[in-house]
Amino acid sequence: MRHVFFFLFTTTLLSAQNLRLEVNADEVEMEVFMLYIGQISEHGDITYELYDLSAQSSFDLPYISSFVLGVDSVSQVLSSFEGVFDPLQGMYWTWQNGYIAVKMEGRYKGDDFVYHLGGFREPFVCYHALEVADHSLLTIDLDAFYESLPSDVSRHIMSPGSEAKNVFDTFVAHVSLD
Amino acid sequence: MYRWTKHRGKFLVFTLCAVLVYGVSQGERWFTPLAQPQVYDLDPPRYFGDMVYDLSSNPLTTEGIALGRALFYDPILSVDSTISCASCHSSYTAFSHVDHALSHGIGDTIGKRNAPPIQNVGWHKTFRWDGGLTHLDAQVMAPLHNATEMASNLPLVFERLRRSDHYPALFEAAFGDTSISTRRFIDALVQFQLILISDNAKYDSVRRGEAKFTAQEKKGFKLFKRNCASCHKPPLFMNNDFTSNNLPVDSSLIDLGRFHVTHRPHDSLLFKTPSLRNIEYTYPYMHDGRFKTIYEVLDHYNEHVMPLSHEEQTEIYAFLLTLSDYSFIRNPDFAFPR
Repeated sequence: MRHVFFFLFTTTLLSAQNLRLEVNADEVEMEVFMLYIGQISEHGDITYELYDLSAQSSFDLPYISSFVLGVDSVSQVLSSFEGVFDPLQGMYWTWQNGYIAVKMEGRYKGDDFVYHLGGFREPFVCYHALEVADHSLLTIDLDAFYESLPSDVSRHIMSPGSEAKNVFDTFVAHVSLD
Repeated sequence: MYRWTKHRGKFLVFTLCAVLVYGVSQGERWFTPLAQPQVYDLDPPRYFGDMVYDLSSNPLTTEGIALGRALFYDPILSVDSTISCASCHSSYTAFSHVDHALSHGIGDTIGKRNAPPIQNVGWHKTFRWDGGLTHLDAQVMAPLHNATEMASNLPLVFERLRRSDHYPALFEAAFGDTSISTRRFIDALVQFQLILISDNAKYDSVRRGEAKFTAQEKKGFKLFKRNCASCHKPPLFMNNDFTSNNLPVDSSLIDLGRFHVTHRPHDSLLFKTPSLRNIEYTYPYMHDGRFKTIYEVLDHYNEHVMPLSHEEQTEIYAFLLTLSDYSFIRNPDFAFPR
């Protein structure tokens, strides 16, 4: 048994082949959608994968009860710079060290947005543990996520801080387990 | 440094024979270089204390350093192949950029901060004036990507390195094969920067008992210890921390320093305490290069930090000159590779 993690726009699946969606006159277009997800082993080690919507429509994960969204601070500071942590992947901030946890760029209801959500410094840490227990489906309704953002939140967030933390927290709050 | 021993000599002869036998068996590849890069022993003074950088994560080799040095001096790292690391970090001025208050990038773009010297970086816990980078490995990519510095990117640089007529061989010598990766690129550039150790100023000679301070330098050191050393702590003359010396904010740059990293109000206008080693060579001073001379700096301290008479300023100045390390700035091993 494995977990499957995928992304919805209301009830429609957002996929590598279907990055532009129109549902009930609401429009979303995802140009970039990438995020780090880590699997926590029994011994507490974390194995990271980098999910990229343009390459895969859903994310198939081993059946483990604990996951994290984002990257722990040790891996951020003492990076291997290899594999999923190679800056070539486009998730590394170069002007400071650390990795973007969730990267979303596109258009929602006609407005451009660029969300590079991340940061490992307190109190603006973008890192979230997910206890999934017996649930095997993890979904995020991006429509509900966008709609729940306060209207005064910037549509362009590209550095760590309180705004990135707020949007990240809203994002992870929309992970639902079935 | 690497020391020759009888035992190693025998080993080398054996290795050479083995390589030759292997080379002959490989037909035209009989010139195959020694497979193992030569270990480079760093020998900093004990009084520097433990290095912050974990050398076991990136063991120094002669070949790794040679590759890092070639990269450091190569303008192909910048998007239009015009500037190298050395453009803003010249060996002749302790790897700082004199005369330019703010860093100077491609197409004559001007950055927001004064390029700091590169010396004794293995003992730094953070990098940049705001400490936004907490590891030397991470520092490598900052100027490479900054739009007002090299404005470049790794895929572009790697493509150029792969096409070059000499880099594949340098990577092979340093890492065993010609493949070029982010990890290897970083490791080599870091290796070269780690050997840039300045430990031969007059201050060091005095510390080693080989020289004596003049009466004026001695008075200056006493004043320095009382007024300056809590932040500019000997022997590295820094404290790996952030502080304010009451500089008013520059109204055009609005640089809030550490605040830009932590977003905490009490970090506003704090900047990393720079090392004072080689201060004579690293003008202008402060994060925005606003002071051209050491006397302007001392004047500022007198007016805004601690009262210092003209005589005291002269004595501190005399002591600061004992931190100049001419052998460091003229070390041929650190200069442009010829």
